[in-house]
Amino acid sequence: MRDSDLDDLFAEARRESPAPSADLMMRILADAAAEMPVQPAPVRSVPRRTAGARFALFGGGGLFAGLATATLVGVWIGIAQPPVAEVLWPGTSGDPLETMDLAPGYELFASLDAPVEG
Amino acid sequence: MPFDALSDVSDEALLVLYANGDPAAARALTLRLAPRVLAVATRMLSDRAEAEDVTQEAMLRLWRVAPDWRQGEARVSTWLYRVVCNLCTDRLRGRRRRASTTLDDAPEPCDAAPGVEAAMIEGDRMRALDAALAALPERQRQAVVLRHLEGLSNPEIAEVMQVGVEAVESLTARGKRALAALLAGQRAELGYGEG
Repeated sequence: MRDSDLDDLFAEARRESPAPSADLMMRILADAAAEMPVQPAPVRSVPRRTAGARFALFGGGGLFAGLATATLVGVWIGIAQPPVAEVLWPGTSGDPLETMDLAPGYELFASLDAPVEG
Repeated sequence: MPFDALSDVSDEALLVLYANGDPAAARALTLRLAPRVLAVATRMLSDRAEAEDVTQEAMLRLWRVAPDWRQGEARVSTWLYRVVCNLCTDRLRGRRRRASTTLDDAPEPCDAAPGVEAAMIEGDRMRALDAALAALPERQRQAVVLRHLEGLSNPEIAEVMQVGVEAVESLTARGKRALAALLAGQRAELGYGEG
């Protein structure tokens, strides 16, 4: 066989190199993943907040209970329109403003107007 | 990192990326190097299943050496070819040991002329070439495969085989002559014209 024939044969062999099977590639990549010196950082998913965690952000469930109670009381007061003073301070009646003396009597200062005897 | 972005990255840089935990670098290296490793192993062993095992083992050794890779000392492909050749040598020696323990006066594996002839009768050039390569002494086969089928330069082969360049030239020349002799007189069967 001539050298040129052999060279043709080599060229043909280079063109027909065996291709790795998909199974072999998967085995190699599995080894690569297992042997990787630094494991790739996992994609961190944002943890889902529970209802309790969300309430805690704003001061906890107690705060929301208080707000809900205040809201309900406000609605009730708006609908029922009870005598507020009687509800809050039982025993009082009437308008407390009626008994409140917002302008004290000028009699307190009347003596100041009298001539000073001396 | 997207795979396309790695097509221009050197083998060595990819190995460093892999050592730093980049799975895309492992994929790029596998796609780039595994076919070459498999081609050498197949030509050396003439057995597809064994060649696949050797390919997987060679790549596994590459993954393991990645954290300790000394940049600039050797080319990744050269290092890998050396590993493949050593693994193939071990397999071939194992075959010979098994053959000698199961058969008294087992024939040398170089006596592959009947295989060559049978393959030629079928007109299968590649099988004829594989059979002829299998008939070569191991070192000549390595040198011929790396030079004429993988296209490595003589200095690269010298590095892979850890011999001098002159020794490589001698091995490839003798290997080629031996191949020509094994395939001599069969040009017509192989589809080459007379003359």
